[in-house]
Amino acid sequence: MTRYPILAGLRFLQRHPLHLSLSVLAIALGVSVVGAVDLVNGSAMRAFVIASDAVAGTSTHRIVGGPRGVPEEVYRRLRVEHGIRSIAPVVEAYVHLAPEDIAARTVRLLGVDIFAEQAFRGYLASPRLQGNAGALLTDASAAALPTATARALGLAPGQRFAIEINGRQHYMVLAATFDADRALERTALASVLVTDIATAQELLEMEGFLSRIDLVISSETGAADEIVRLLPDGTTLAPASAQRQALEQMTRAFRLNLTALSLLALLVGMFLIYNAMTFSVLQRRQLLGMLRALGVTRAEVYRQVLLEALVLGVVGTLAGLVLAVVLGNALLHLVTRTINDLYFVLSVRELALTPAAFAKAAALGLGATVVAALVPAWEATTTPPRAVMSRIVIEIRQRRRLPLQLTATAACWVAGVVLLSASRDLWISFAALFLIIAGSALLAPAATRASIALLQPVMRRALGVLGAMAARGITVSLSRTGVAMAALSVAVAASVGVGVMIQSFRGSVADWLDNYLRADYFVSSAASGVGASQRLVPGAVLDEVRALPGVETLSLGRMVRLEGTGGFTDLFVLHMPRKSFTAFRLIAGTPEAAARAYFAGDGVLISEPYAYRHRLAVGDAVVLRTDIGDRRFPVAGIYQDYGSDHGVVTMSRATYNKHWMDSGITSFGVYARADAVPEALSASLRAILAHYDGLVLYPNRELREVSLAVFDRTFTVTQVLRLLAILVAFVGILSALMVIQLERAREFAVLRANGMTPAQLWGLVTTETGLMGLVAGALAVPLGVVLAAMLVYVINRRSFGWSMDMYIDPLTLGSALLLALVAALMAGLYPAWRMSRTPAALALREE
Amino acid sequence: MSMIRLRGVHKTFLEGNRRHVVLDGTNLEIEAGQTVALLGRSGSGKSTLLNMVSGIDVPDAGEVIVCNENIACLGESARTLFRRHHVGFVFQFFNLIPTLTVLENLLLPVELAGKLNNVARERAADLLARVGLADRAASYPEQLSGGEQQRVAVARAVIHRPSVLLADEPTGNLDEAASSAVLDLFAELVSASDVTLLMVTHSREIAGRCSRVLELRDGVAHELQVQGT
Amino acid sequence: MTAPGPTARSMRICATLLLAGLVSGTGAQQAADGLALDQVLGAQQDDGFAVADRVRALRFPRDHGPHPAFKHEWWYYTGNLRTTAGRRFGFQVTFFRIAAAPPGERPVRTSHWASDQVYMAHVAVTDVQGRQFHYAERFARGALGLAGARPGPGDPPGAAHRVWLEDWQSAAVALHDDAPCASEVPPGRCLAVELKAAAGEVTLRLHLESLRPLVLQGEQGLSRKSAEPGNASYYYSFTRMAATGELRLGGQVLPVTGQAWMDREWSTSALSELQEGWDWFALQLDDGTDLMFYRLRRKDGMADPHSAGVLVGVAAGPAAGSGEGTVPLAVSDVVIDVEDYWTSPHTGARYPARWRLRVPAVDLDLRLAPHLADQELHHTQVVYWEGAVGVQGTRAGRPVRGDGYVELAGYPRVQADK
Repeated sequence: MTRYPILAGLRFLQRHPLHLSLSVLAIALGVSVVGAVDLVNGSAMRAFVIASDAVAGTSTHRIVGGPRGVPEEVYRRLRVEHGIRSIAPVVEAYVHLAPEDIAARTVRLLGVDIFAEQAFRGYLASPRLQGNAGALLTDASAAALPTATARALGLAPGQRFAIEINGRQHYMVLAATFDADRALERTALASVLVTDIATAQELLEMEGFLSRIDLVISSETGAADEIVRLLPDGTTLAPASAQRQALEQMTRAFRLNLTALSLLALLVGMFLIYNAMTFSVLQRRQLLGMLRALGVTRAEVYRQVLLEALVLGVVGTLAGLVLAVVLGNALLHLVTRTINDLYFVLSVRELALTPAAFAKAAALGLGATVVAALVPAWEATTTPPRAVMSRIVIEIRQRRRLPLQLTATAACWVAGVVLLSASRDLWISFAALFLIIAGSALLAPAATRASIALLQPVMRRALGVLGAMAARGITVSLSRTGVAMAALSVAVAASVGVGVMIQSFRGSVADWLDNYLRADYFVSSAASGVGASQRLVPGAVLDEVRALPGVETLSLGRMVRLEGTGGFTDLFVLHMPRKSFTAFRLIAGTPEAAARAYFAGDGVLISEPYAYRHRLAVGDAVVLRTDIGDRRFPVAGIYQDYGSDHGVVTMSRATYNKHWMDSGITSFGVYARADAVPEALSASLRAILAHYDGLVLYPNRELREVSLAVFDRTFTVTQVLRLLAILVAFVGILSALMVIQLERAREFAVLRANGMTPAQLWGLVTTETGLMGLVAGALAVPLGVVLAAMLVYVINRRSFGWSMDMYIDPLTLGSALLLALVAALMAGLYPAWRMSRTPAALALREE
Repeated sequence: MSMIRLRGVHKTFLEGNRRHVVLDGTNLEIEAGQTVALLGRSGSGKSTLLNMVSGIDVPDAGEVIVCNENIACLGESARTLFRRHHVGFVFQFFNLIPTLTVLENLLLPVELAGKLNNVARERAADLLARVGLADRAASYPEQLSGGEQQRVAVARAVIHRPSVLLADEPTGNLDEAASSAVLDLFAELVSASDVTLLMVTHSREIAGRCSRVLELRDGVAHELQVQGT
Repeated sequence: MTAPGPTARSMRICATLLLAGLVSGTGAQQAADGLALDQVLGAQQDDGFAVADRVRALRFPRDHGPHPAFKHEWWYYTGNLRTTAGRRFGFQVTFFRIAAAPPGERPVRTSHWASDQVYMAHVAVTDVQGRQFHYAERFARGALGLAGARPGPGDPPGAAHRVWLEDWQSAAVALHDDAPCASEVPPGRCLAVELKAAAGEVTLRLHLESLRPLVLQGEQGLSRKSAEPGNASYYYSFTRMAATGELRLGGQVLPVTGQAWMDREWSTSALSELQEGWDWFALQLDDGTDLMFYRLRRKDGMADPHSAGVLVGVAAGPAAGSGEGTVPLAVSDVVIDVEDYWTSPHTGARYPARWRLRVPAVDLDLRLAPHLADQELHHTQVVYWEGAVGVQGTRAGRPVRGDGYVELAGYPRVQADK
């Protein structure tokens, strides 16, 4: 490649710093959003994997049990009677460490038998266990913490500290500290609290049971079978990775949605790059014509434009990567909290700045830049040598291209619809979504022309010649305004789409809660978040509550997570009054038949996501590992449920009792008698619960509100990303429109020279940009609604298995319009200000 | 030996819905080393003819043979490369790349031809001196007057020793003194380098400084008598 | 840090356990199970534990069972075996019980795992012809049936005496009716056990049956280890047990027979400040004599005056203590000369490796040589040498032969004081 043409191009960029910096900023923002989301996703998953690995140690398999865990007798038999020694018992749960301290955090309480640990968790081996490890055995409140955690809490050996389990405080004594060899493991262990297994059983009220038994089994064939043969019904052997994979899998859709949303920001960014490059090509048509006349080939021109884009891309991407770290740190907390709210306990304290994440973001940034510049580069090659080609020619060409664009739009839409219907895969669904967005964006010039044609007479009548000029100004320079409007439309549409999706989601959830929450009061252990240990409600509470005069009946719930070789199944056991069966809004199955089967113990209900994920229909069966072996449970109905996106199997207590030896209750609902005085009942319930730590009472309304609050919290990150996409668009629109207006300096100078006052010029520019904003906003609204429909009916269903209804708030649509208008108006401010201040003569001389 | 030969060249443009015939079976023959002025009214097809010779455009029909090459048969890329090596160009407006310095502008064609070496640099310096702008090598075009810019353009047009030098109203935008300086330069360089010059102009006076004068009328080139050489 | 008061063979392993705790990191003591036992035991005070400060009437089978009021305790089997083809093996199977906390401090716990009783077991097999020394170490808590000891029989009802750590165990079985010692002594003073253990790929299943009633060591079972009151242990032995059974070694099943020795001891004390370690000898001679002697070594190289032993089955002598023909041995009764040394390639410790042992009073002159030089347990929490030895010599001019076991503790040059 030759040097001087490149030099000429780069110097051109250098001479247009505003143009340049806004383009770079658009790229930087796009890259930063994508990079930040990727970093956060990566960090969260990395933290999760490291923590799982550190806690799993070297184990290859695990024995898991039923609702209450693995009977400890299983362990004794394997070890003493069968002499199997590469096994270690584990009792674990998440607890809050130092709940009152500012350093409060959720940690994994790991109860182990240090005599069985050596083959599993090296960090618990003697040289690392510093302090009075013997106390772990002899002192029921002794615990060991990682050195760094102890230091962070200001704890010296022998000192007391508080932990909170299911809402109850316990005081522990720091007996020993430990450390991992590897830095990675050390990070993971920061959230581990180790006690003797006996202590853990007592703290968690798990006497007689183990959370699991870790095993190291050689990969020899038969070794695992041998173990399986020794296991009683109700327990099973699973690969150690199964649980981790299941949990990872569980968050996949969530992470993918975040990624897609971040890509949307990049997509908007791409429009802006496209716009910037197109503009720079148009601005240089003389320069390019000259070079062509001098014998620069088309390929060279093409490469040159791409190279310029690449330079912008590199600068923007580098800036974006730096921004990504800043943004990532801000998002980390939000994403982690959402994962904690929805999936499992995860503690991620810092962003893992992996080279891979940076490389990916950089590649995306540069790739997006280059792809966006392909068309402008091609455009540049069509510049005839030395042609004094007026822009009007380009505009005519643009006009001629309209049918082509319409065809492309149709093609994109068709391809999108075909893809959507062809595959359930989430990536493909998103690809289809993006195709439809892209297709719609191509529609922007035509739609703009049509809308302006409609508006022009109105403008003329309302604002006179200036109004007509403003309107015509847009269509006349459609080659550039078209892209800017497309970018603005896409950005606003994305905002509308995501906004409407969240509203629809929230509306559906609120509606569902209204129907689902039947009891007047709900009581459950204070443990919050998924994966918290399920503390059982003492039977005495139930008796006391039942005896209250205002109580009609109780519903009894039992949440069980059944682990198996292929991950786990969440089982909800519900004993409830027959009349409340309508709380299950059936999507499949007839209410009468389903209720009959449910109460008779002949069938189970499955939630919609469960049915979607496992492709089950009414009449199919769910196989569950019961205490008496694997059993098939026919599906009697599929019900709407937004409580869990991995799905729930619900069965009656009667069904449960037939197959499991477990009488535990994890929550219950209180139905008040019709004549009960709410204040009195609520007071007596509170009085009863005051005697039992860790049980929380929620009146019906309050539980609904708490649930919706959690919902809102889990969508915070989505909202943030939505705002970021808007920000990218805003910057882009600003730059695009500003540059368009600045380019018209000469035209404006002529107007000024002919007697237009600065105020009139101001009016012209702002009217024009405002009009563009308005038109773009108007285009964005229908596109946004289509996007929302796709998100609601396709993406959400495929991500989470939920079906929901569309709720469209006119306010959202109105604010979208306003957003577009404000962005466009603001973009007009600077050029108008500059033009109105520049003496006409100076502007005239510039060309 | 003829350097430029056009045989039966036809060219029509679509303007709106109207077909506009620009060249209508034009024949033309120019010998190597000749300096030819091309006259004609606006829209008579002078620039189109230049575009044919430089390979910027191709005829609808006919042959355009330059340097023994029928460039009407070449592809776009080959024509560009042909231009790069064999053609020098001087325009009326916007002759220099505004974002390159004078020296860089001068060296651009050499570089495009892949011949940027010390010999070329010496030649560039020599040419700059010859056009009287040796001290402006590092200036950008906008810092030069119109006449100076055009002198640089002329120097640039010949730096890679093209066989054919095409000029499109090279003095159209200049005052009399500057025009005269540019034309002197043309004469000097043409005689020094044995290049064939084809210059589009409006001015009969300027045309008079050439060895041949042609006029395009109705798409056909007519030989005019040269007065007073 | 000062070590608590002294004792002798009774204190042998436990004292070193405590020592090991003080010096962890010096002796290349990467234990098989990796646990630093000192941490479990802590440097706890002995307050609250019972002490062996007076003669108590030992009752059997009750005292075969555990004594959790005392800090430590063990069931110690050693022996020499032979296959029918004459291939010789030595074995050691030891169950240790260690209390991590005194009995008075035990809180009420609801978990079945809760226990302050820690069991440790050492199993070693010496393959004399194969010149291999196999050994293993295990730990488990005395809870949930993972490890423990029961007095038996009949306590709890129906249960036999048993000591176990996971699938290693010593379980009492009924004596044969014609057992040599059964008819002559009160019940419980004879013992038959099934022993099951493994060291690496060698597994051991033996039936042991006492050929002699148990011998109470020291003063009716109270074995003083220093002048300090309470610095003593309760100590009894089965000095000669018949052993039959099988040894599995690399896919082979080898039927074996031989003789074993069982030591039982419990206490709360350890070595005194002046004591450095001990050499313990348990010899079974073909003339029917059994000899046990422990020499407590002082840091100044002298034998501690509390070194002691016993001679059993001396045909002529009157019964002293319990059992027939039992003669106590005081430090001045036994002359031991070390005739050779062996330096461990594993730890660098220099151990005595040949002895001349004389008991002038009964005209006994013996030479002891290990069946295998390297019988050092070095990948264990406590590093010591415990091995099978061959015995040759004379008794009153007549030649005698025999086998035995020697334990050499306190040799690894652990930093002397800290």
